[in-house]
Amino acid sequence: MKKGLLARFSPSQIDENINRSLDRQVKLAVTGLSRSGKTVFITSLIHQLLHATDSNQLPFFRLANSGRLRGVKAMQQPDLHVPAFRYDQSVAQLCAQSPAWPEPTSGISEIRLAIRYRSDNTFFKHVSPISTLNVDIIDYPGEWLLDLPLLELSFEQWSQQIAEACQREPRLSLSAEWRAFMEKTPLDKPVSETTLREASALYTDFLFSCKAKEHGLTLLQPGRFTMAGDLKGAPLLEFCPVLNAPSGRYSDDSFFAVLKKRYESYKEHVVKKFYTEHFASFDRQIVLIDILRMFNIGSTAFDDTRSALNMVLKSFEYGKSGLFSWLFGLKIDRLLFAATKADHATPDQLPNMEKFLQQMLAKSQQNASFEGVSTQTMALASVKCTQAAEANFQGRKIPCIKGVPLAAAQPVALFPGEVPIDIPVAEDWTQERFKFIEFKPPRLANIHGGLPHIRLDRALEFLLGDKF
Amino acid sequence: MNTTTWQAPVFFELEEVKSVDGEEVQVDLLYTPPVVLPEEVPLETNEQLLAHEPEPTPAQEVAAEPAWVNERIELPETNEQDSKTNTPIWLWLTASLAALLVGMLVVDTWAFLAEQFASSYLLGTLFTLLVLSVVSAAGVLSWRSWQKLKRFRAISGLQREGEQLLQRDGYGQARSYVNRVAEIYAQRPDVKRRLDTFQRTVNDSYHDREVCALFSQQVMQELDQKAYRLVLQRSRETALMVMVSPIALLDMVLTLWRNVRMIRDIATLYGARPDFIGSTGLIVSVVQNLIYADVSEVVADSLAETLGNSMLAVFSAQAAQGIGSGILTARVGLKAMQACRPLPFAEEERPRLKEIRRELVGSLKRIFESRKEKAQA
Repeated sequence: MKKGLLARFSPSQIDENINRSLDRQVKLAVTGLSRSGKTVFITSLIHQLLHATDSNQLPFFRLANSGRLRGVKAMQQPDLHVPAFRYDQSVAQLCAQSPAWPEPTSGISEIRLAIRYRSDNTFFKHVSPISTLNVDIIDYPGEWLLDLPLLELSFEQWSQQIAEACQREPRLSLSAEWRAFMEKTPLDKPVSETTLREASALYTDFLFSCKAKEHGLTLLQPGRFTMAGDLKGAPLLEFCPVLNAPSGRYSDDSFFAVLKKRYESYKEHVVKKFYTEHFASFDRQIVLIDILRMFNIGSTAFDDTRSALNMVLKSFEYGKSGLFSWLFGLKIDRLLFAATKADHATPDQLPNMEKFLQQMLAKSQQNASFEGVSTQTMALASVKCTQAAEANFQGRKIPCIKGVPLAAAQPVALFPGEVPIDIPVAEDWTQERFKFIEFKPPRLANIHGGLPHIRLDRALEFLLGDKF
Repeated sequence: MNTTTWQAPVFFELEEVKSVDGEEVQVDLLYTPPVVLPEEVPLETNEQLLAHEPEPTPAQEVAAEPAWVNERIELPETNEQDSKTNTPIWLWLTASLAALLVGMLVVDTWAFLAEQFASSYLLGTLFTLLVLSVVSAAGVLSWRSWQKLKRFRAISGLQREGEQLLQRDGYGQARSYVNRVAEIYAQRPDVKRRLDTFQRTVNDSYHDREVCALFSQQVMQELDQKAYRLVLQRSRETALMVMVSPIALLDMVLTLWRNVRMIRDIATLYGARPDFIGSTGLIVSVVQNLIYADVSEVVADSLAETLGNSMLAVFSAQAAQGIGSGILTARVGLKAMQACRPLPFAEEERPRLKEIRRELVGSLKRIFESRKEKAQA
């Protein structure tokens, strides 16, 4: 999983590592499963930074208030073969006459921001009074994240995991067709291309039905099956796990052997490439989780998301970055868990959201803390699209939120339910308990003062604040 | 058939079973269900976000503040009662003495006026008018004094309330609190501009602690810096005066005078504007603060001072004395800042004696060095 030793000592790599050790460059990992709001977060973050000098939206981002910030500019990204993150398109969609959320990401893209500021450091103040910090951010489909755990699994181990997951509802019923097909096809016999294609098509259908809104499952591997990106239709994607690995001998052209070979080449050519090119080293990480969606769907979606996240977070390297870290490889030394869409709950529920998230990801957080990483939990909204309000209802004052639902034209006001602090037991996830609905982005007259948000400035301060 | 032991398995209704220990694990199913409000329910929002309307001016915003954030926090009873129970006999004595004096005064005046009226109607009227004007002037004076005292008390009240807000992770109560703090500065043009920025920045998603931090950062910070500079200046003055003054008694008087002056200045800066009674109360509270300061704080401070003073040994004994009283003044000043700031300091923004001491010693050193150079030249 690590980069080759030689690659680490190539001149360009050493140069980059020195820059990063000297706080001149930060690679920010924006991690989140699909539909957790990565693109909106990145867009909003870029927008806030680009307008940081003349906005009053970032009171808790100290650099913007200290008067030391000279300006922020989007620069040419370092990897020219990667598409650029289309900030202009996303922001145009958000700020259009009828605002819309950006389209779900289907491929990888990258952006580099140069933050120019007056240095406060006693050493750099004299050497170079104006310093520049380059922030590299990568946007990618959240589905692909789930490929990272595959790097450590053999085909047999992975198949066993999938087979076990298919023993439980709702996967049990959703996978019925694929399982039936797999059970009637002998694994140790040679197999035709058509059968292979059919098996993988059935498996892909199963994954898509898991992904459907009413089930909302996220632990769907391999990630490219549900978001093919540039690999659409490639034979590399024509395989699937098996239910029971054959115990006896099998020939090299048997069904099992072919599937295993394709799995390995998927790992080698897709996952490993993705990992080493974009995910091998980060300095800071923010993990975005949409906990409100899980409340709506129920206990199964919650369990699924939790295990998916814990699995994914194992693939990152955490640890304190020291003075000589440029020699030994860089590690993530700050980790922020963020519950997104905090504006979809009433503002008094934000502490509950934070506490709930902390409980949910306690394992990963403890792992990171053990490595000496400073972690924090926060509820934030990249773009705030509701207003806090209070209503008199049946003789009581109820806090509520007001906004335009995604499917409607008129604003509604609702109290969407209390966010529990503790993880509810399975029976407690009742249908009528939560009603978190999706809202349209706000219509803004003037976007140059920065987009409205909740706590994005505090997230920025935590992620980048110590670099200035 | 009367059997004491039951053989066959039996199911009971769950509700009918009473657990022995009474500590049964229960799944708490209590929650507030979601509510979609009907359209005719009147809504109170505190921000125009979705509409294309022009931003309201901060003054309007303050006026249009929703009623629901105006709920007062119920403060727990403070331990003032303890001190009251200890002193009823003193109170009684003072009250009866005052009543005696007032009574004597009234009876005396009455007799005096009656005597004057008996001798001449004109003289009686004249004296009555005089007495009335004296009484009304005294009344106005004490009324004003009372008002100022009340404002000062209000600041202590605000401080207690602020402390509670900073400790809890609540929502919806800080806006009204901050607005009440802002009222103190409503007439101050230098703070007004910053208040306007604050009102534009703050939005409905901020929590109590965040609102307080924001207010402290955007509005109070400038005042804090001014107060800090004032303390530094006054303590430097005191240090220099004590250095050059030849008599020990004069030192004491000088230090006391500068300190009282500084406390009043700081109070005025933070908007407390105390009169005589108020400033006495303020001085008492500052001195109390000094006496009852955290032991750890004192240890850390005096350690720093001792270490710092060893460096000062290069100066004369009198210079060291001067710096000592300068540091005392600085300490009084910082305590006065804490006593007068309506919004209590958060832990990380509290001004430290260490910094002020460094600056004080540094600036005095500079004075000495420049003098030495002059003398040599």
